[in-house]
Amino acid sequence: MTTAEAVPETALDRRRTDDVLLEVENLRVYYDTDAGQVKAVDDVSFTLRRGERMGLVGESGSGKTTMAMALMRLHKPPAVIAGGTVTLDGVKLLDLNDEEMRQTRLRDIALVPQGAMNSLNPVYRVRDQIVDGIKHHTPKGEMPGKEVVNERVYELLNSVGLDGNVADMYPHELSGGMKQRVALAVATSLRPKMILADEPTSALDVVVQRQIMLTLEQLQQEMQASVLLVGHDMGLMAQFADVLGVMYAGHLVEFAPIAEIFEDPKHPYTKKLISSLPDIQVKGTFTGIEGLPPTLVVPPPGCRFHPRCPIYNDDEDFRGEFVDLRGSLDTGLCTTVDPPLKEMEPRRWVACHLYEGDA
Amino acid sequence: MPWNYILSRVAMFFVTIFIASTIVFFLPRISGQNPLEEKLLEEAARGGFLEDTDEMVAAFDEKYGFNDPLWEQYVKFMVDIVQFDLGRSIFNWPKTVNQLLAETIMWTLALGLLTLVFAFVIGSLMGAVLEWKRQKTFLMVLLSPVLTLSAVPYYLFGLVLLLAFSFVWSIFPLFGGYSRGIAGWPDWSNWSFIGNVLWHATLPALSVVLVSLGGWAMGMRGMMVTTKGEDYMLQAEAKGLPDRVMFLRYGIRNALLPQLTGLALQLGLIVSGLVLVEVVFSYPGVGGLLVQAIPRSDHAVIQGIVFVLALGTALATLILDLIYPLVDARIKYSQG
Ligand SMILES: Nc1ncnc2c1ncn2[C@@H]1O[C@H](COP(=O)(O)OP(=O)(O)OP(=O)(O)O)[C@@H](O)[C@H]1O
Ligand code: SF4
Ligand SMILES: [Mg+2]
Repeated sequence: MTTAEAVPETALDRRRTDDVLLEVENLRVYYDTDAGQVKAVDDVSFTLRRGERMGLVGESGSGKTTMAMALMRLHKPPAVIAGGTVTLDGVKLLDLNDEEMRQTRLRDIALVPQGAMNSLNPVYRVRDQIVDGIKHHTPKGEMPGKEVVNERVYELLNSVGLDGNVADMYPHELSGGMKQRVALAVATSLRPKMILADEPTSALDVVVQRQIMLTLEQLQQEMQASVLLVGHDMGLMAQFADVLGVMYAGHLVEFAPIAEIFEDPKHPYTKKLISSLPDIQVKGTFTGIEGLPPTLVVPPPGCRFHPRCPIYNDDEDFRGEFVDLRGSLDTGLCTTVDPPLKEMEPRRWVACHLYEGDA
Repeated sequence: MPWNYILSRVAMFFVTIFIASTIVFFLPRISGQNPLEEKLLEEAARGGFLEDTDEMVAAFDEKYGFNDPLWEQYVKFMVDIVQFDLGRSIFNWPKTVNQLLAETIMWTLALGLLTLVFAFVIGSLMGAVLEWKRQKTFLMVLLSPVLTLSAVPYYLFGLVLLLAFSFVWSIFPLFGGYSRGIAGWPDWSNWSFIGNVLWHATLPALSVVLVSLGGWAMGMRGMMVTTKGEDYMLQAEAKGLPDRVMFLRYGIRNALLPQLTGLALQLGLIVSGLVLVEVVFSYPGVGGLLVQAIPRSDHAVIQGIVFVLALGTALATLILDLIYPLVDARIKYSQG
């Protein structure tokens, strides 16, 4: 365990620390449907360090939510975890029994829901919904008295920028932004080591979005929790994330420190993504690239990206950038061998036949 | 709770009652039957001969104001209603409708309320657990017969029960609310009398409960499906709440709200729902009374019962309106 003082402050320092909090190895999450197995998360591996903020992007249907849910074992049938391991601070989450997993949720790993309007139980006051999480993680008889608990509720509400009297309100009396703040208060009520946030601001307007992200950032700094932020907004990622993962059709195709991704994207898909952004200041929202995502029931053979890959298809606009690399590319591989995620340099992972590295 | 909300609901209640009373007043007058004539004809048929029936009818009509202008009759009727004076039965002369109702209504209410509560609680729980567990439990095995039953009318299933358990096997009595001809009965302080009443009530109650179980179960199951898919359910699980808490405080608590509306509506229908069951089991309730009164055009009795039914429904609605905002904070006490 690292003490609070020992944890470095800046993103750069954090990256240097090799204190792994979350390790995902060869994770596979499939949906068993009548049409066949939907391989929504297929052989995904990455590591996240303590206090590190990871962004996860990818077009709709690439498997981001499925993976995030599986990390907390919140996936619902027909989703099944078909393989792999998830290790949080040395604990193999997939090996825990249900009760152990229940205890782990909120205490060690918490979820900030989508900025939807409905993540709070409509029939209870905010106070009760903050307290019930705490209560069911406190051994019987050790729950502090009412006053202490109330004090804690106010403290939490204040930490997310809400007034204490919000405790006595019902969800329908709150605005979307306030609800999301309450959700943040709930998620941080036990000071988890890891926070998952799946598009936490998607339903909110831009101003509120920024406020919520700032609040999340403050809480993260204060608790030195790691964050996995799923989203579409590259500008937001650029501001928030230390490292970025890019998913394509169930695969993690690139994983790298955020600055390096923007400066020098390796994977052709990432490359296209970055170049499709309106400008270098990365204000743009992730709009994706032309072409349709492949079906995940029968993915394209070889590299799943090859039907849309500018290199494989020798796209004019991209020829210049990759001309050297392409020369050495065996395009036959692209249609026959699914490129594994390889480490090119420390913390730079790419899944593409253009690059050599250790698998 | 704001006063204007309560006042508007109470006003609504009185308006409903007023309209219901008016309809109750006019309906028999539209039917064109004269209850006195019917009564006298019946007597005549029984006694063999009666002279001057027309004159007698005219005399009665005069005495009870049936020849007065309609509006005078209406005003008098409404004044009586306000004082809860529902008139006299012609066929059970000289008993008042109030007396007849007093003799019967408790039987109906007791049977109706008990069966409603039982069916509601058991059915709702069954539906909730079925959806929550999603496994093949013994409940799953129970479901299909319960659903089949819910398509059968109470009285028909009652007849089957009666045939099986009273006629063939003689486990339960064939008819009545309690055994007749025992000195000192009915005596509600006597435990063996109460036992006897329960014994008589078992089959009628069973026929209602078993038949209505499926409806509650399916309603609850449907609501539970919706509730399970809500974001707050996922959030509850992400919060690390135990399954039991999620089931009760997140699942049932939310799925129950629409069920409560159904419950209140059913409250108003207790009496009418039981009419035929009471006939099948010769149960001493309001239903039996109504079935006697209708073919004889005993208007005062019919009017009295219909009025009480309307009163019951309006009262149930009023109570629901007043308590619903307490159960569901989203419903505001707004006027209208
Ligand atoms: N219940 C389900 N049954 C079958 N397939 C599913 C189910 N839920 C998701 N999928 C499939 O799994 C794949 C990944 O879905 P997922 O929701 O994880 O994508 P995502 O990256 O989060 O997309 P978005 O950006 O739209 O949120 C999709 O192809 C989707 O069609
Ligand atoms: S492996 Fe081939 S098809 Fe796939 S991204 Fe690399 S170059 Fe393109
Ligand atoms: Mg998603």
